[in-house]
Amino acid sequence: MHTELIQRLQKQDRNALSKLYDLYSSALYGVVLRIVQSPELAQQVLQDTFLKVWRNSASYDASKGRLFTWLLNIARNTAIDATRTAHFRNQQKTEGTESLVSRPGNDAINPDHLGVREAVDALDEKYRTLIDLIYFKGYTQEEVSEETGIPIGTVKTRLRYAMNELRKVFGETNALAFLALADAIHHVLKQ
Amino acid sequence: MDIQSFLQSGLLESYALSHCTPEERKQVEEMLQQYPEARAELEAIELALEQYAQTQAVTPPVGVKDRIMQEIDGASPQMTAQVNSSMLRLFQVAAVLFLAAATYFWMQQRTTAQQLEAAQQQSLALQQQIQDCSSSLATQRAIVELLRDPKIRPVKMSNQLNPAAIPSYVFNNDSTGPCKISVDVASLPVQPNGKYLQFWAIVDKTPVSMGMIRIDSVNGIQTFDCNPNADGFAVSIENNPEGNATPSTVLMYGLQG
Repeated sequence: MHTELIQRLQKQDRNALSKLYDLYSSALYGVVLRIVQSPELAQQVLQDTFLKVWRNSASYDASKGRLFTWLLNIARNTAIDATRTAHFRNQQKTEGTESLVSRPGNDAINPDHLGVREAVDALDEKYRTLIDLIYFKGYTQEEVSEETGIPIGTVKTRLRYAMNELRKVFGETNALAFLALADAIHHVLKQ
Repeated sequence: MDIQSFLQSGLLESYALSHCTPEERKQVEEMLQQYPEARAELEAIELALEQYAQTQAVTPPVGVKDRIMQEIDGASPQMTAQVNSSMLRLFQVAAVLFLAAATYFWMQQRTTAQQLEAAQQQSLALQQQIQDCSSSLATQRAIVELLRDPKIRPVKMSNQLNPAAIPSYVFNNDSTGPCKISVDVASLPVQPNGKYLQFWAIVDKTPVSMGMIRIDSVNGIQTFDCNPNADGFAVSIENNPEGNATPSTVLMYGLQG
């Protein structure tokens, strides 16, 4: 855990923010990019996110969750706010709905996670979509149900299952296991 | 809720995904305070999500971090320059607008002053006209009053120097006892400086001085004492303001009919 880093951040130590950026900007940028679909806007959202983190660092409480979860919530909300502007909506109209689950190009992938990424890629598109909609785009389970046409009860079941398997995979940091998980999730969701 | 049911409830997953209602959030946070197992479970869920997120990581362009650090250090020099430049621009625009407005109001004011002066002159001219009309009306009224009196006999005076001129009248009251002769001074031609008008009664073809004519007579009517023997009247032009014993130049005369 980053206890010391958080304390320094909360004392408004600029080096702490710099360190935080180095640790998490890529993961946050990846998520933001998938929500706003535009590198220019995503960069603005990322900048706003870290400025909010800097100004509101006092509101982070380590007893209520991991630092990254807190950062991701801020980034996601900022990105969702950005998509509510008229400009963004106009842009989206011309692009069609496929972009909802589109992903950044492969050349932008963090090489440290290449193996895992391949495992994730092996998942059926619609199961990735489930996690992506909820975790990355901030959809509620009700919204997922509406979006995909899957009953809400099924969404809940599938999500819990997927989460457990996700933990197993990343707990072992094993890409092969993740592939197996992908099959398992696939199997369960087919039922 | 006991800890096992809680761990199985799915609430922790919802909490990690920020999908809780405020009540659920409160419940989860109470459990986290109470049970280390709950915290460990949440930690594991969050860690898995975090690692999943890392698989989606994209390195942002270098400039983003610089902008963030500049922002928290206060406005960057570049930003300050932009602000100064835009402030300067604002001042320039404001100055131009101010000058334009000042010029406009100055011209407006000048036009208004000119209009006011013209209006004042017009007003003076109108006042003069009204005064002229008013005094002319007073004269006409006075003459009408005289004409209404059955004892008054008007005597038409022919202009000897300019026969085409409109004739003047002398209003002779020929009743016995104290009476007045009225002369329509306003209708007499205006004399140049140094020339004066003298009024005469003609008695047995001989002019008898009645006195000098005053141009500034009230209502343009001057009255003289009667001369019961007068056959007619004459007005002469004199150089002497006191008049002469005999007329120098006869301007007009008229005989009583």
